[in-house]
Amino acid sequence: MKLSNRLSKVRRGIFILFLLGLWALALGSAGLGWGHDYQLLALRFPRVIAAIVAGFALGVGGGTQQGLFRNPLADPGLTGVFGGALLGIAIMMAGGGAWVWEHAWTIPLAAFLGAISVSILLVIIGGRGSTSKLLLTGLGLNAFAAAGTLIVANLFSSSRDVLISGITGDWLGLATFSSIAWPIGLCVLASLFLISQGRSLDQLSLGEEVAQTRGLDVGTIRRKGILFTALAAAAATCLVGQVAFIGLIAPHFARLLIGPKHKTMLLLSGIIGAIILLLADTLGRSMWPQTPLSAAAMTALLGAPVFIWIASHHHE
Amino acid sequence: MSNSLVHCRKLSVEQQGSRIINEVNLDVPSGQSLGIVGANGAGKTTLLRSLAGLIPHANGDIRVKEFNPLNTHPEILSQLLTYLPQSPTCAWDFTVSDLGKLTINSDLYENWIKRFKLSEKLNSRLSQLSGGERKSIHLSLAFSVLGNPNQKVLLLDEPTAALDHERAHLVSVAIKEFVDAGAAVLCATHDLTLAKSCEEILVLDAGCILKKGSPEKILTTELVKIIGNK
Repeated sequence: MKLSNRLSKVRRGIFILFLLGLWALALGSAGLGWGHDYQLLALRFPRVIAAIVAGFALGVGGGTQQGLFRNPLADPGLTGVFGGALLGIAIMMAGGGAWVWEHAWTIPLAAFLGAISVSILLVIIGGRGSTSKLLLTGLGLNAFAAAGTLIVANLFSSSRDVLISGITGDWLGLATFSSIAWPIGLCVLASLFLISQGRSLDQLSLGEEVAQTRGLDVGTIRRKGILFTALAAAAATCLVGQVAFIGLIAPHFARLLIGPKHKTMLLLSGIIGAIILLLADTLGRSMWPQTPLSAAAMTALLGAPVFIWIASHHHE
Repeated sequence: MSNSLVHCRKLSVEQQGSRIINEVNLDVPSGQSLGIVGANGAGKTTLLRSLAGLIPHANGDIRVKEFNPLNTHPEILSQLLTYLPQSPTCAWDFTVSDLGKLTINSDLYENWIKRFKLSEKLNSRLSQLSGGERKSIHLSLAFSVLGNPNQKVLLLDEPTAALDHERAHLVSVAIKEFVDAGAAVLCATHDLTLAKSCEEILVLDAGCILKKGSPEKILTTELVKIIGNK
């Protein structure tokens, strides 16, 4: 597919996201409207921005992880990277107490350290094996990280409620301008860097050995990719909590729409990720205003069937 | 050291306790093709991968031109050699023409696509091609990445596997063209027709060089039987 056709689809995606953003800003538990003196708009704005940026980072991060592992089933949610980020946050909250809340940068830092630790373990244990080895390793790491987070939540009651809502992917409701500034900056930084690595990921498509003999420093691109994917996932976790499937579905649809060339595919994957997360969050909070459903739960409703479909059509 | 493009002395590779390559000495000068034959497990692929710098724990002295592939930056090495693995794959469903954009010599790539009679498939996706056509695409990529083949090294692992007779013949022709242009071509193969078209043949057995010489001397009926029956 020609570059102009790919960019035209990217532009269409941006337009859909823009319309959806307006709809999400106008819609809430009180129905459609901006509220008196745009009060509701001001209240919803950080939440909508957080959903868009986090979804974008998740789409780009998922596409990059799939490119790095040459595996369409890789997703930071399924491979335990989000779990690691959440465990990092839990440990920081437990250890730092009130100091953490006074220093907003500590949460993304802790999330990043947790995410990168899990990423490194994933590469060491399951990175060079089959799809099933990668996913099973991720499953194990995710379970381990989730157990760690629950233990911390159990031991330190002061942060229990926040952590439980993080595990269920329900942090978008807590978004304020001051709480989202750092994670948004990091999401944007990581996403732009990952998109800029598109050509290297294209070369990696031919396999590590061929890519290396064609001039790609495979070790360096893997390290950079893993580092910045962990950063994107960690920053997104700070905004939403743990949310699976976006990093899996978004690149899949992006590839179906514009083909696998990574630079434009990652860009469109980010836009689709933003659309999915924003749609899930807006539906979750407006369909059942009294008992809103978390963005992660809504995403899983959409994502699980797609995951099963991809898994059943993927051959090793 | 001689003026060989590919040179190795006492090359040994151990994997999981067993020795796959055992003290192999090899010199391949510019303008020569070497067919590497041997039974399954003889060490053909490991030898090629070692020469491409893909086995970090390979022992011995390996040189491609004056560079040791194990500690040369991939970007420099890629200007000296190209490597085609036994079963090349692509993780994603690129179109044939998009794959050409991965090489800096896309015109050369399209020329090879034409020679493999795949011009009409330029807009097809890899999943729409047969196994032999996909192999031809990977061969076109490998043949085009080096640009001018003079003083360059081609390491080809089973290049004719999965190809029909016509395309397999084109591979023999291509190897001859590269050699005439000053390249050194090392080609691991079970295809004895391809091996016979090489200027020299090296027979590997259990990681050791069993014989080396011209095809007429090497490919005796007895040896063909040994290679085939092991």
